[in-house]
Amino acid sequence: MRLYITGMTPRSTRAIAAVRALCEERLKGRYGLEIIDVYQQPALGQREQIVATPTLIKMGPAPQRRLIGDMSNRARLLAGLGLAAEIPT
Amino acid sequence: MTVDDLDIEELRSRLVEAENNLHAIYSGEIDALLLADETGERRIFTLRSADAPYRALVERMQEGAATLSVTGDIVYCNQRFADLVGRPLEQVFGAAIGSFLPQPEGDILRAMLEHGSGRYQTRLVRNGQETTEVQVTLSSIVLDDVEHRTLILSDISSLARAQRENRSKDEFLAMLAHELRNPLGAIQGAVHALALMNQTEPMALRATGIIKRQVLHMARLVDDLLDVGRAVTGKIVLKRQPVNLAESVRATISSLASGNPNHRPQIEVMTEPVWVSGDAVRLEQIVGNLVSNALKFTRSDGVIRVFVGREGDDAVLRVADQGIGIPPDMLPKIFDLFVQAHHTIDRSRGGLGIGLTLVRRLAELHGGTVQAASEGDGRGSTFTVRLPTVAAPRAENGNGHSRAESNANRRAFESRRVLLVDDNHDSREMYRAVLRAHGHDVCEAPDGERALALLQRVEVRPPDVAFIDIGLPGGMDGYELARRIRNLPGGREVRLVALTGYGFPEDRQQSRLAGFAKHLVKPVEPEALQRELNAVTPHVHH
Repeated sequence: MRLYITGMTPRSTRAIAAVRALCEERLKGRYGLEIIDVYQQPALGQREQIVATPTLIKMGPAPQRRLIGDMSNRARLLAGLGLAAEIPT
Repeated sequence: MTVDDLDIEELRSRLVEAENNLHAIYSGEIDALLLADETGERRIFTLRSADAPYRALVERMQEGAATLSVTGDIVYCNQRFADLVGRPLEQVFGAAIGSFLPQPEGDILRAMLEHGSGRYQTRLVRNGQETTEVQVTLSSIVLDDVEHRTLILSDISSLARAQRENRSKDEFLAMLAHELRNPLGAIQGAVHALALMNQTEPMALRATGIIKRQVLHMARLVDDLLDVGRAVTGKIVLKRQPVNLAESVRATISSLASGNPNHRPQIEVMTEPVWVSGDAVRLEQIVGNLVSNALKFTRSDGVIRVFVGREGDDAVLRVADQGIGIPPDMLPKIFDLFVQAHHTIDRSRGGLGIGLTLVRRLAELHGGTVQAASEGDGRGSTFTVRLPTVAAPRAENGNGHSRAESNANRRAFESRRVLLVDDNHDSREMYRAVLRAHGHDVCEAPDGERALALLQRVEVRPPDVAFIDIGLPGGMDGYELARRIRNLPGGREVRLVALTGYGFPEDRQQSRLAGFAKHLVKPVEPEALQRELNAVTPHVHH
């Protein structure tokens, strides 16, 4: 998974926290997360055709998914990653 | 589920994803957009939230900040900039930076704009009036491929005012020291005259001794007062030569340790010869200040130990007393100006706290250091000065030295003709008393005009030596008088000696140019007067 951000904005920090928490909870041990600041590494943003930040890209397993915007909405984050919604226990 | 069904499902979810992402962009859930420009290069366009910290930083900083075109038109500025130039923001945007700065400095500004960087101090112009003092700093940035200039205005009016006040304080101290020197000179002369009288009354002898010592002490304080200002502002220039530190220390201590030995601490001096490249007068000042300090803070039954020697590559002077000591928290501050340890000490011990500052500056000027150590209250203090050593000069010519001295002694008994020009009646009277007591022939004048009139009288023979005060009343100062005397018939034969309260090097320079052979700073010791007289051979008068 790759998360593209621009600088240390409140939205970037929230996105990093939310994505990391969700992955730890649902995909523990089965995921990799790279966080890329497009200010610092513009070439990487270019390669992935990033149009806005923050953008989260699920590289695999297929199909590839992209999520742009607020990551603190858990249901939206789950849907965007193509993960099953919460299973009531 | 068929393959077609799968494709449709995938297409549907992609559509949802695109729709959601567009919606996120529309509702401003993003920090930045990365859009390709005409070359295909993606550029980052930040929205408010990413930009805000920088904007807040620029808007809230205490400096005025502006972005200029290379020709000096303001394309952006912060609120502080508008406040400093005293115009509303909307009138500042688009204006030329030159319109807020003094016209005569336009060239400096244009050069800086062209060069792309620079810094200078000036005043802002508001309604044609020069106002706040500012520092202008210019640098270059490239915005959207276009070269721009950034300009920072820092308000330095309070700093500049503090510097001015500091300067006027230094000037005041110099004036004060100058004013104190004149009366001190007169008292010193008077005391010398008293000492020359054949006094037998023990009370009178003791009183004379007291006045002599105290005046010398005051003269030293006044010198320190003047020097500390110059040392701090870096105006002291050392006249360096190889000096045997041990000799210098012994000589200084013997001149300090006058008075009844039962009523002052004992001073134990242990020295080994060690040579430094130094200014003899300034080294004496270092020693004098440290030993006076030790004397001031040690009880009369105490002991002060002075050591001079070599430690490694350093010449070391160590002065240890058994005084009140220095509390640990004061140790680092003890050499700062106007700091004196223990504000509770008896003020009768006196001192302005300038002596140690002077010691440190003088040690540093010699490429050395000074350190204070103390085990605390009542345990005494030790001051250690370290200076770089130099090799001892080749054996000095002792014979020649003593011959010159005996010549000087012999000549000392010969009478000279002396002209004395000083507007201070008391000073004149005291110099006259001293000179006459030594058998010299003295004529005198209170100003330049009368001095010249005196010299032009036929019956007056030209003097061997003329002592001339620089600050004379009337249109003619001491420099001018010196030049006129040089132009009189036989005037070049006269040894001209300047007397002045100002000991500044630039004055010495000026007095040399005017033809003075020597420049003496008041108060002048009677011995110094005598030395000047010994420097000439009396004219043979027919």
